[in-house]
Amino acid sequence: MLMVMTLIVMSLLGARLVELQAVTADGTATLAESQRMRTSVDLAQRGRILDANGAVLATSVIARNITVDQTLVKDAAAEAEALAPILGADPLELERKLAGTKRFAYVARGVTPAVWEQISALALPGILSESTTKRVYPSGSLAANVVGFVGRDGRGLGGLEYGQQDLLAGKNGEMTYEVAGGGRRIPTGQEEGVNAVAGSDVTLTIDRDIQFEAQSAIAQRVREAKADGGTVVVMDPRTGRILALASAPTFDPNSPGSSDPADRNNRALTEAFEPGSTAKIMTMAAVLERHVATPTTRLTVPPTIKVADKLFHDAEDHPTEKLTLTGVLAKSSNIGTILVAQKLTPDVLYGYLKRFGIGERTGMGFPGEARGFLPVPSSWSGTSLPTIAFGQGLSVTSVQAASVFATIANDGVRVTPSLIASTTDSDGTVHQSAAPATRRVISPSTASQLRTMMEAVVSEGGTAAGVRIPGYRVAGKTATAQRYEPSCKCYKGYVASFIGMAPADAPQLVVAVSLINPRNGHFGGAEAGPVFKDVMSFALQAQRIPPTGTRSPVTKLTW
Amino acid sequence: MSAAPALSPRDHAAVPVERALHKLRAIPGGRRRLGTTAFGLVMGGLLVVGLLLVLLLNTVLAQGAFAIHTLEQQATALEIQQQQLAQEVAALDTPEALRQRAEDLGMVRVDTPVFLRLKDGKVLGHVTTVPGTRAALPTVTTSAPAPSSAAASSTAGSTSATKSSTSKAAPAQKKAAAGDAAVPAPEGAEVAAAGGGSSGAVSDQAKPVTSGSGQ
Repeated sequence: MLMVMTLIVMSLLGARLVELQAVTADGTATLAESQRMRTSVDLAQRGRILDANGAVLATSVIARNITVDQTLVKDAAAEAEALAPILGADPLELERKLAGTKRFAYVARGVTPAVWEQISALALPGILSESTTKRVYPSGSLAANVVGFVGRDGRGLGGLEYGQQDLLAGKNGEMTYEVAGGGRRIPTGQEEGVNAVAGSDVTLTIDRDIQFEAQSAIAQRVREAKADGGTVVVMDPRTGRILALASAPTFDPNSPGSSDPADRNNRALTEAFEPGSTAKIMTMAAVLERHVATPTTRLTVPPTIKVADKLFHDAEDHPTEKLTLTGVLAKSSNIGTILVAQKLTPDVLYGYLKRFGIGERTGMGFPGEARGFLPVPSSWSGTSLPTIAFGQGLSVTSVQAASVFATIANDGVRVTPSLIASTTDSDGTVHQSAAPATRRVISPSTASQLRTMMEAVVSEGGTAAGVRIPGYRVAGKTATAQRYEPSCKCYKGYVASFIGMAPADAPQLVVAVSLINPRNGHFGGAEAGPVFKDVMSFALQAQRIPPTGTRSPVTKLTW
Repeated sequence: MSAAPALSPRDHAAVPVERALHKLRAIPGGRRRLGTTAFGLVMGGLLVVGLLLVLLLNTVLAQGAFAIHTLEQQATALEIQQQQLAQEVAALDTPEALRQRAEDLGMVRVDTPVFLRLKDGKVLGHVTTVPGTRAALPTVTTSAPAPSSAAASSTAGSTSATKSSTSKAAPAQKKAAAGDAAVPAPEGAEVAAAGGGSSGAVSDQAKPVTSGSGQ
């Protein structure tokens, strides 16, 4: 009897053994393997964005996405009620996310690990999490229009986050390994895959202190003047390095969705407008370079002038004036500018504008940068030369305009503006940015003459006497341009600007300020001048540039 | 080679066979053979020891895995803590926060930059006084020595010291590599609203000077 029983049991066991080992062996082995093999994505750490002194403007931190398996949720309302205070979300909205039949859905993205700990302590059925990284901008809107922002998936969507996406992102890895019951790796188990390669850090030329000063000064001025917006560019003319690039109004890259898309653009690079009187400096450069006139050339400036059937006025009516060429620039006389510009051919004027970088991208490689507009001489009408000479009928970005003045500040050599100082690989190798391209535009003596002429602009009798910084020699030019509105193809509102440099006899800084559509006034000196003065005096301190101790030469504006 | 090889083939042939055989004899006793039981025991013992060693090895490895797991968790927790603290520092470190704190201390912005050149003690720039009454020095003087003491401790010319004190100007000393004139650096005495703190060394032997404090 016992024998029979034993035989039966042994036969059953044997049969099962044969079944497992022979019949379903492959399936069983695969199942076992799938239960212990895990594949996880090794997230690449995104590179940081730093200012010129290494202060962090953008970095990535460990975070968690809260997810839900809706089929496991028993009481969506109760769970939503419990989650709401921790996530700071609306309970009803949460309930909608929890209820349903989906096996996987997002409840909240990028919460801090501390928040997840609180949630996980509640042990709510169906609530899970996945590890992720979150992009944070510790200084908020500081340099936001340069740095840019990322989307939900962590990819750059604007500014340098977008422009340098490939460099910043690095490369995700993927690891496959065996785990034991508790989720721990089996030490002797098989393991294969590739490790993630972290992204590179990008170091900017921006100095965040100057950037902050520029941003707060222009933001305040935009509010006061009830303007549509404004820009500030601070540049080192000798190296082309942009020390500050402010755009107002701006946005908080930590929550880009809550801002006006227009405010996320870098207006100083993406918006082109007619330069107005700041363009006169290029006309003067051509005039001096071609020996058509000298700074002391005497001109009789009538109240109006007729060119090709069109009557030109000055901004303010005046009787016939006797101005020197310096006086024409200091008082920003359109008619005086036309008088000397008519001695140039269209090709010559066009040639100088082109060499100053008008109508071409600056070469900074910023995404979405505008080219501006400069018509070719063959398309010029009879009034093109006089209007272009005083800054109408062409358009420039704020950085292009700043670059023109930087060229004059740098003794006539244009240095391509740059925003990125260096990049640092994840292994610590530093790659300095290539030396920027340079080209001579005007002679050093012409540049020096132009600077002296521009010092007259901020002298008594000039259009911007209010921007003087005591102790320093400042040179600059005001502009009040009518603003061309593409939607109505008409002139609507103004752009008031002031671009200047200091110290005038050995310039180390160029600051360009533009105010778009100010409503309380529209003269460049009064509107943009105060911002220039604020930012320039701050930047001189921050960059430790002492006054040169020389005196401005006395120049005659009239005769 | 030495002159006399001991055995040549001829020598071998010369040895009589009988003598060689005569020299062979049985080794007495020989080693005692292990009994079957004992052999089994030894083998069993070896197997047990081997298995125990494997078990020990696995235990150690598993323990290592546990340790790694715990340490990894610890590392993650510390990284999270570090990130949190770094973010807190970053928030305090922003130019905006620094300006706010400087203003809370009664410091004001300087609109006209003024420099003290260490080489000859010359004050460069237009020295101005700040409107308003002078705020009392904060009781916690961790980073703000009195302007007069700062001026006195500098070896710069007496003219500049006089100018500084009359105009309520305190030389701002930052992390600076002075040129040919080394001045003992009083700690602190920040430039009002100069924002981001120590940002590089002085290259031209000139330092910004604040125009005192006002309320």
